[in-house]
Amino acid sequence: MASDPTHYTKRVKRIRTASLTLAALLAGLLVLWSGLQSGSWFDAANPTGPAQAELKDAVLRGENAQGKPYIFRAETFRRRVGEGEVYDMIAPDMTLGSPAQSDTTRAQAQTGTYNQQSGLAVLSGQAIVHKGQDTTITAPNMAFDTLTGDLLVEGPLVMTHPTRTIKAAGLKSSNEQKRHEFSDAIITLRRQGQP
Amino acid sequence: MAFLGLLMLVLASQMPPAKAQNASPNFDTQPDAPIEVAAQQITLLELQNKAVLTGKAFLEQGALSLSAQTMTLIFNPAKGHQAEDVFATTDVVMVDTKGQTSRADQAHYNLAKELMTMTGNVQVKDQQADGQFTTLRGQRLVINMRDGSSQMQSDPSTGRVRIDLNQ
Repeated sequence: MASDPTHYTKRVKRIRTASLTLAALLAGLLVLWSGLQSGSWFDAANPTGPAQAELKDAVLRGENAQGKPYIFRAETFRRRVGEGEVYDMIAPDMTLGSPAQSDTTRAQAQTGTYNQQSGLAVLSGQAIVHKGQDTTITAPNMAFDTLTGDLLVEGPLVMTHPTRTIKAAGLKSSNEQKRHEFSDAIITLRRQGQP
Repeated sequence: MAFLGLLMLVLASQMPPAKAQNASPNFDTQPDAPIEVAAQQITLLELQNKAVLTGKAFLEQGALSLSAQTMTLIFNPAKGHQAEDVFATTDVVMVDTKGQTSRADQAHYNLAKELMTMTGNVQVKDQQADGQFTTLRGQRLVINMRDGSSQMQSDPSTGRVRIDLNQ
């Protein structure tokens, strides 16, 4: 039974196509892997718009300058046209530090803006920051530096802790030094177990 | 002679009794009331377990208020970072609802022991029922915040607690 030369050519073509597809797939995986190793990346359920300008249910992961991991989630990340790496966020939820660590900072708000280059997030609409396991800061607006964990609040805020509540007109907070500077502040002290 | 003795007795009975001077005034305190402290600037230093209040620092607990230029709160990390001590310095003034005003160079409120200690040029000014003011002066005043009782201690150099009466 002699072999059909036409059939042979088709087989070679199929093998070539499969090889090229596999190579392309491997190249894609390599690019994705290199992205995982340095910097940050987006996962998004439904990327829409031109050049993925809007990301739904997006997750941004990475490490900050101190090597601390961060995970930022939002219902929507919308990239501003012509403003580089600036995103408008809906329902942002930003965690700095590993959830297993006690000094994790988690910031949530109704809306916000995130500059990926500077690492600065401006949160608005009842912004809440949980610092560690027992401190919570709430304010209508605040700036959260995702690289350092520092906070800046230029307006009324409340910081609660099991043994004290601080109400102030402003706050400048250094995460590394654990130093919080309040302006026009009132502290209500509580004893342990006191409501 | 017996007549002279009787006369002196009668005269003495006509003299007004000597006014009782309390060298240990009582204060209106409510140690179980919540404590509020306020200032223009409050710096919370978590690593040092303290908060520094500057600019019109003010403490209020129920009926009693304490003001000073600077106050420092000390937190105890072994007790959930609960505040245990308040130190006040410069222009320290304490007022209770009776209007009794105490001034000193420094004050230390030990919240755990419920003791307020005022030191350095301590003056306690109080208005009596008859409108007369008394000013008690000493170097150290220790107030039991549980019952409001106090003890004024003298200046070691003179060994005296001074009371001034002013109409």
